[in-house]
Amino acid sequence: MAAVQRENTETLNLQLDIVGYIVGESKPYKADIVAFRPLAVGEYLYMEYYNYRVLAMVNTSITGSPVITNNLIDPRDVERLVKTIRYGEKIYYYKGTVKILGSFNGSSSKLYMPPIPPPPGTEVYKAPKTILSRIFSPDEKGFIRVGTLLREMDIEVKININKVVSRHLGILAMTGMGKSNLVALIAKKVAELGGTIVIFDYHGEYTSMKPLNIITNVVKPKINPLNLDLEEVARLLNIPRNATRQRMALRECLESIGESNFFIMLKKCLQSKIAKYDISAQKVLDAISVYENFLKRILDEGIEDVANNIILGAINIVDLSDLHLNQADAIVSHWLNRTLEARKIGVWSNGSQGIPSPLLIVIEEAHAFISADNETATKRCAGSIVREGRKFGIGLIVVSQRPRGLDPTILSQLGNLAVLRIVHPEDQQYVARHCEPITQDLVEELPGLNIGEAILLGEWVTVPTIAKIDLVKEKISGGDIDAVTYWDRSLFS
Amino acid sequence: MLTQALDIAMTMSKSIKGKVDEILAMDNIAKIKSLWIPYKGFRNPYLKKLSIVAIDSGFNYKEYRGYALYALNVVYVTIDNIKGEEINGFADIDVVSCSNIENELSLLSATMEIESMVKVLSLADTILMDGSLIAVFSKLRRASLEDGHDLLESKGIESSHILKELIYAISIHPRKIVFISKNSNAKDVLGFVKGDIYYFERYTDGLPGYSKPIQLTCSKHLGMSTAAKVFRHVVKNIAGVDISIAVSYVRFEPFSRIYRLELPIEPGEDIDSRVKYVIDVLSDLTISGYPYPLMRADQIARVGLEDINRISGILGISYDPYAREPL
Repeated sequence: MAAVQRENTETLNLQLDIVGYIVGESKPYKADIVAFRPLAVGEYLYMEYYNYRVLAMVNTSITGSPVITNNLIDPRDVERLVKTIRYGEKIYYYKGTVKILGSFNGSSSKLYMPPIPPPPGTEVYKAPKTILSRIFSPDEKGFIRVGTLLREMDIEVKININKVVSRHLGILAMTGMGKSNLVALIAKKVAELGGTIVIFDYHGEYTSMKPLNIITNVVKPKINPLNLDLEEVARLLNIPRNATRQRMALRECLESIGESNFFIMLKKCLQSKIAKYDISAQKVLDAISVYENFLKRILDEGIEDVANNIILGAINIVDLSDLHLNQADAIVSHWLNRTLEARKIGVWSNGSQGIPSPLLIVIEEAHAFISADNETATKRCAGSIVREGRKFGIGLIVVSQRPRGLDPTILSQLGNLAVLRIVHPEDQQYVARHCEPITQDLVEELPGLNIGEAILLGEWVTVPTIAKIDLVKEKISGGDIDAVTYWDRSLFS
Repeated sequence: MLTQALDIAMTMSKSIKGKVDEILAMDNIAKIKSLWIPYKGFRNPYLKKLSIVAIDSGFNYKEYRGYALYALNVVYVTIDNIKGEEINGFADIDVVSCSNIENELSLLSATMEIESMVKVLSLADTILMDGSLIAVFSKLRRASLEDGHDLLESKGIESSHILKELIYAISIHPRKIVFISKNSNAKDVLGFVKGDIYYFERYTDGLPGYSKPIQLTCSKHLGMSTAAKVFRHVVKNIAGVDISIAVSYVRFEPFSRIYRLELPIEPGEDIDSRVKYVIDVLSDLTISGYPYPLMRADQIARVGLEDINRISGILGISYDPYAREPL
């Protein structure tokens, strides 16, 4: 393979290793390549044609032999070819398709799709490190490191965190593939920048995380019932939306309730409304009797407004691990509502009231809270945030191991994606159908990823990137449990 | 095609199918079976590995108005114990204007194959030639007697000279040269309605082995036996040695296809052991029942339509008016 010394307009001396040539019909965004060596999927390539300097990525890689073909049916034939004739040592062909990511000029890291496809015979080189660094590791404010390029481990991958706040993010993968590690990494990096992040921790995975020089604020999942609105209380008491008279009775009581003894006052009020609302008020009373003990676990009159529990510049972890899904749903939806409101006030008051600075909110196990099949309180609130969050500086990070269970409306509004390994074809197709940044050819690569390897897509990266995500050592729980060691220990202790 | 052709195919399907699936008398089946000698090739791993060369050629052409562009190449694949597989050959690309281009190119490719054979004769232990020795001999002999082979003349090739080269090569190394045909309509051994290959393929129970070899001078086909006698005579006249051609049909692997083997033999030579030797030598190199070096040579030598179009593109004559343009 030849190495070509080339001097470009920026007087950068690029040592270019030729990988192969473009063959056949190509398109501005896609081309076929015949190579001298096996191509690695996700490998970055570089081409120059018609004054465009183009970065491309290997999409599919094929290795074949004109002799050891798939019409051979006797393994002894292959054995003879490989061992006796020793064909196997000699000739293979390597080809594949490359996805053209864009052309660049000047020193900008931005890529633009060239209007002209590469002509057949165009030389294709391994992308030089200087170019890759410029694209994937921009030295600009707001870019944070999340890992390295999978096929070029010495090139850092940096993401634009501003775009996560304004365009939201979906982290999708099978369980155990590194979703929570990526969340922990983003949380750590955001906190290092002085930013605020709120994580709804359904499994208590993040509570033990203690990064150096970063404040972690573990928040008890309690809300003040006096801050709840009618809709939230009705939902907690399981009062259906069409039970108008029950809701009317409840509304009147909530409006007249004092500053303390929420349940006692509410019950008293409802008893007084029986004359007016008859059985409807009685039904609400019955509901309170049934759910009172259950609700006391999440309601506390002594608790401040949740917006006041958020520590700015810290990792705020709302520990939902002790709660049932319904309780957790009530907590998350209330937090989302109050945070959005507080942030709105913050923007309108120029930071003198409410939450003064932008923040990120992470919803773990999002398929349970933002379900495609069930109406949850969180779904409605999350919908508001993905619609309005951009204006008020609230970014939503949706984390799920079952993408097909996620609400398609919210999923389609996530402008950034980190997709780790997904094997289930239904999940793959669901993601391909509802997530704008992902394409079918990238979906096909998903089963080939290993733990901690992710495809990053959307505005937070310059080009689609296959990255090896950095491991957050401070996050000690959340991994698989070594059951045998536990059993072994208990057996001999 | 006329629609009547389909009608005829339907009405005659039984009789035509009957010709394909010929019903053979028991005696004839017994005769075929008696001629088949089951044998599975075996190569002693302690013996010296042989260097085997396979030669094949391929050509294609594109007819323009008043001339034709052709591409022809000859490939020799060497399978060597030390070097592994080595591919060599030479190619000829030109334009020509002659009446029977197919025949001319076939003749040219035969001459080039012989030239290649002469070139590798001293380097190889066994040379596998694709096709039939008697057919090549007859073709070259006829060409040397005829006039008007424009293509050969334009290349300065004398068919009589090539014929002599072939005969010298065979006379000097008769045991090195093996001709293998993938298909044949010859009726030398059985003399039935169809070519021998049809019957051996159907009535030998898929057993690997070979048909009892015969001298081609004893062929049941009069024309063939005459041609074989002429060959013997010509060789004697030119090289002064007595060489004749033996023919056998072989199946290298169980249930695989049958191929026709032609071997130059010297008087008194045990033809049976010669055929067995060839089967043994090739047993290590047989892929899907066919010698790999020949398969590879054929694969590389083939000139496809895409190749000829690519050449015409390089020459800048892709859009020249071509022969069947009005259609």
